[in-house]
Amino acid sequence: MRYTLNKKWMVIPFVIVAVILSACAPTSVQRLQATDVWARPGLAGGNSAVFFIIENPGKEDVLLSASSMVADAVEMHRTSMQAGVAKMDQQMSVLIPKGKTEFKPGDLHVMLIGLKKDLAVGDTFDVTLDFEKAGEQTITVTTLAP
Amino acid sequence: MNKNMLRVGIGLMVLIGLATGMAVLIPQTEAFRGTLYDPAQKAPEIELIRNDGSVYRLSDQRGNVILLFFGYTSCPDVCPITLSELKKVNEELGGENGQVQVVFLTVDPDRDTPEVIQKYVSIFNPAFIGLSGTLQELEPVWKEYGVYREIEQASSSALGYAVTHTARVYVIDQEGNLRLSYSYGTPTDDILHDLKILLK
Repeated sequence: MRYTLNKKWMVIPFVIVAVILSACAPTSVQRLQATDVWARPGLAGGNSAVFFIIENPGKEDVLLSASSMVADAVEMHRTSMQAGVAKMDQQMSVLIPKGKTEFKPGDLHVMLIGLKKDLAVGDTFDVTLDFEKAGEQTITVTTLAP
Repeated sequence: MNKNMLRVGIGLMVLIGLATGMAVLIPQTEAFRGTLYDPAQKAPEIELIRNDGSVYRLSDQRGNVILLFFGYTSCPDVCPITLSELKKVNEELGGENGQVQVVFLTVDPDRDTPEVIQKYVSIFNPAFIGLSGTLQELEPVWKEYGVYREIEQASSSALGYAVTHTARVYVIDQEGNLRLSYSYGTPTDDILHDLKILLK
């Protein structure tokens, strides 16, 4: 008994393989865009702060930490004013919803604690931001006049 | 022309004339935009040793307008923002800036030695004055200027502790009187406006 295979049935194995392969491929990492990246000048042993705007075109993400070679420690902080009194609170993580999140003076900032050398106007350095979904992204920071 | 209309017209002209005359004859009092100390009160004395060993005495600064701000060099945000704004004010004053002195007085003497605070303010403007001292020397100054200052332990932070503090800028006039103060975020144009009145 002879069976003749209809051509359209021959496509099925290829479709199955394609589906399996696409499932195994790494999920495309969503790209977050950082703009207006700058820092304040600072003195060796002192502190500085880094500011930027994150544009998240996709799903909500979380900034877990930041790191840089220029300081002993890098932390995320938020400044607030309560009845004329300035207060600063460390943030263990920062929610990055879809759209813009601003790290700006008087609000959220990445704090560089214990600068290894002076940060002068015009100096550039890298800061790596570690996001829960987007993974690590390195931004280049320019030191601007205070 | 109707007589009534003529009377109304003459009446209006008389009123306009009176208003114009009053505006010319009565001098306008220029209003300050900052929070006014009314009446002005003698600024509490500040006497501290500077990084170069000289004594800074507020009462020796007669003839200058002093912009006094309390903060600390580890402050990442509010203090540098305020100092940047005072730098801008100083630059905008142009030729008159020689009569204006910016003084940054620490609320964190443990970390801010006279050397550290002077070096820090020099980033903004080498003419700015950074002052520190011992806790015993500084506490009465904070108290007299009504500065709230509290150490907040931050064990999870490399900072170790942060200092929560009042963020007002105080203005002391050429006669040594406390005249004005500004809350954090006051537009620099408002500060400039007031300084120009004081410097007249």
